[in-house]
Amino acid sequence: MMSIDLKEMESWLAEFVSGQQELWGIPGAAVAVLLDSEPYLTRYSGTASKTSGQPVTAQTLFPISSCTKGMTATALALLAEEGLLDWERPIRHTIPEFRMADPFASENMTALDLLCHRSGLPNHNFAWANSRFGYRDVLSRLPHIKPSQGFRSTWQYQNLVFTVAGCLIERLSGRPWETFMREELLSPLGMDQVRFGIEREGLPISETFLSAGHTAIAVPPLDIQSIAPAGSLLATLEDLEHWLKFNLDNDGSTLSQKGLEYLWEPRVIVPLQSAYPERSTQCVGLGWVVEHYRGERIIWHDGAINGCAFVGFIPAKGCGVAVLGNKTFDSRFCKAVAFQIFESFLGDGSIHWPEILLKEASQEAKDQAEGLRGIQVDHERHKRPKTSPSHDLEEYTGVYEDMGYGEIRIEKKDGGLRVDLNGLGFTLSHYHYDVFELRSEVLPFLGLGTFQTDVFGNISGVLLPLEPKAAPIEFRKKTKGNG
Amino acid sequence: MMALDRKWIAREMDRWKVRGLSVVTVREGSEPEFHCLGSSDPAGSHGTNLETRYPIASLSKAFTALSVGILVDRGEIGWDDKVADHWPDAPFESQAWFAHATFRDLLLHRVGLPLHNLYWVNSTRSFQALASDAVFLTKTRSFRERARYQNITYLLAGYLVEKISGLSWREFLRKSVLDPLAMTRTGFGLKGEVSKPSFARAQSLEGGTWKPAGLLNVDSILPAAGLVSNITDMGAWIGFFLDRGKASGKTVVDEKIVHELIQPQAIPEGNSPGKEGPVSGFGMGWVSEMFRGHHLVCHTGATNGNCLAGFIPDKKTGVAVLSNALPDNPICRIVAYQALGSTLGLEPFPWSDTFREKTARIGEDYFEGQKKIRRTYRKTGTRPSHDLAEYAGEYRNPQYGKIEITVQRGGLRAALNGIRYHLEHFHFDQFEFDCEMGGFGGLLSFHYDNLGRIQSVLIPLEPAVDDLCFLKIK
Repeated sequence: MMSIDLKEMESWLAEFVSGQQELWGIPGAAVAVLLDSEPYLTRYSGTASKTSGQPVTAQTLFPISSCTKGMTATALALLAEEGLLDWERPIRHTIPEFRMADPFASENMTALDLLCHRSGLPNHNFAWANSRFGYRDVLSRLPHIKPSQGFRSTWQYQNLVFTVAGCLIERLSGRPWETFMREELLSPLGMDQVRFGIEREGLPISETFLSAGHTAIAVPPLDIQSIAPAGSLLATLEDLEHWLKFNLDNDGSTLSQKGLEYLWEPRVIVPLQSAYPERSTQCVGLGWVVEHYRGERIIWHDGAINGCAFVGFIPAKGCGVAVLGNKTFDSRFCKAVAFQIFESFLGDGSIHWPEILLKEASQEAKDQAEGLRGIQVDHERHKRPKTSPSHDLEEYTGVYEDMGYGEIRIEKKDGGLRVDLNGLGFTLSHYHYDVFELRSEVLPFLGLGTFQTDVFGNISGVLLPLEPKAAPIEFRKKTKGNG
Repeated sequence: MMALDRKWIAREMDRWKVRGLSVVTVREGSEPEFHCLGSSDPAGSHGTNLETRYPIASLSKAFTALSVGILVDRGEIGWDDKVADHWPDAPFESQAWFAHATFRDLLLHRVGLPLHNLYWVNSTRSFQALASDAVFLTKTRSFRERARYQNITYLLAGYLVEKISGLSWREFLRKSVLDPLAMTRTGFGLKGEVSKPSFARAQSLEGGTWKPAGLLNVDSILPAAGLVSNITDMGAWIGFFLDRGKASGKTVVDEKIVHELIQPQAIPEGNSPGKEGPVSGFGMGWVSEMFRGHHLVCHTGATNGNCLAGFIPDKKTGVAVLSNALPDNPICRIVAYQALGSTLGLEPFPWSDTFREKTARIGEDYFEGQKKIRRTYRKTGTRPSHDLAEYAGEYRNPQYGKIEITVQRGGLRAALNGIRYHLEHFHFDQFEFDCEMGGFGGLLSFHYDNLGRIQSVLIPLEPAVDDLCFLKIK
């Protein structure tokens, strides 16, 4: 039992969370703290929807994005406990058509590999963001997604590979991933408000906000159905309280404690040194990050798509924290709140996570800007003067396809070309010969795309470096013009 | 301010029954602090000094890893290059795990091989021969599933350094590491060492007298455990890592290589989360662990002696402890932790008591426990199917080599690589075997063919894999 004054904690939390919302520009937030494995405090504040003026309440659904991973991993643990899943058996035994680009990975990949980010594939975020594929399609797409590292050689965060876990659950249980999750995990734990992302109509779902200068503007959420088992759940704070309670004080009726803790075993070291002596090297388990904070093991995960989320707990202390916010692409607000709460339990309050994370954010922005400038300088240096595209711009337009990434559409725009990839826009401005500078319209992304011409002299494809760590993605031209 | 108090060391040596020990504490900006106590030989006639030569056992691994790092630094190979690409005449099939293994894999203990210690212990085969055949040893784990400490992939790494550099591993190490670091007194293997008075012979106190321990031939395992060195050289070795690849101000290897070597990259199997961090992680030739809130890069050695080398890169401080204690003695950790704690200005911690508790808790010998369990399922009233003489002969396993089984004084004996085993009938065609060196044993089974001739013996020489099959050839 920790000696914390409830009243004091309550007022501290209220003030702290409001301050953090202000600091990070979060329109609406919800925070839960569990102590002695029981819900202890909650805090709801701000707006869920600027359009309707709805405030954040206990019933507000937030996209928890990658916090979904711990739940999908737990669903697999249920199947392992039933004897239906052998964690270390190659997936091919269950899903015969399972393939990766690397045949060695195809043959050896196990359920463990799916969940701990060591497949050899880098992010490939543009392969799934807003994609219209369903999650089951991942099986036909994966063989065409290029690795950048050897199988199991190092940690690289990966959503598409994690998604296969959903397919595995379906094959093993005979029920779709969603049904299995609902029937075997969410309902037994009382997480009845959870939704699967596709169901949106009429539900109290928080809007998604994006930083725009000093304000946050509402934007349409990204479609992430293509990686549903890795990040598509919507949950209320109450759902997450149930989830934390289950992880902290498991009565064994759903999953044995051994089965649960198997997910927390550190398996892969995240190859980044901890910048703070109070935090250890980070490792990933199955659907979770595992690290030590001031000598105590913390199990956590965050999410930053269509909102921001954090779920974390200290098993030895019965302490858990869930933080939800509605600004997308950055979970630092959630981490600042969560780690400051951990600091108040485990430390003496001498570490100020908001400050540290703010510094980290501005450093990241600086590094990113410098990185882009570096690429820009490089481009300027190598640019061959006085060249022009080999074809009329019109001939570059059309629909192109890559078996892994799907279709893109290239059109003329403002004297240059524009790429539409699942509704995400990129500009292509002529660089030299048939090489174009590729820039994202919203994200800090810059690279060089090269068009190819076939033996008949027609534009036949384009190489786009959408994942800078791997070889460029080869889109083959399917149709001309707008066809 | 001294890092260690001689009287304290002497008390700990007394408490843990250690005959001779040398320790160096290295701190940036000051001269290394040396202490040499006790004697090197069982007779007690030679006091240890800066020149006393100790087998540094598994501390050798960091030298092999650095050799590979030097080849990476020279651009001859990449850490993540497939080893097979640099060994075109490799004697293995393409589907072997080896076809996918990289240099990093060999040095991170993660190809899936268990110890297989009896494959090489006391073997008289060259390490080059052992390295080639090792590719066919049975694995316990899927490739890169978990890391598991062993020696064999370090043989392979040493062997590949020879293949790629065109020099013998010794020559390469001498030219590229030992000479630049002025580690002139570091040598290879025990040949010619044992007779020298300056050699620290592993020994234990039994019934009031110091008895020399049996020595294992490590010539077959040089790149994993075969170096012999003194405390002066080990001080230079630690200083080289604290200087991130420099010796006497000159760059021996780029600091990126040093960083890569000491970075935790693979999680050991059976890792249990401690108080200070979720893992101790394997680097290459080094293990990274948490020491009272600091990242300690460390390795121990326990063949023909007992030693430790470690350093805290962020604090530019390190320590090496060499001793002639038996392998299971915690003395090196106790002395090293004391030195590091005092250098870092931390509150004293009762390491010695902590290890005393740990040692007490281990309690009964593991193999004695196994024997007791076996008694419970022994079938009574059975006899061997054949006359004992029919079991005698030569048996062969393609990797482990030859085992000779003989009848002596009405019982069976076995010998592998000069190590003898006593066999006692257990039930049917199963015999309980005991290693004469102690600490190892189990149940082996003889099998006969359909003509009734003894055909093979299955022996659990590596408990982590299925029993190894030796076919009778004579």
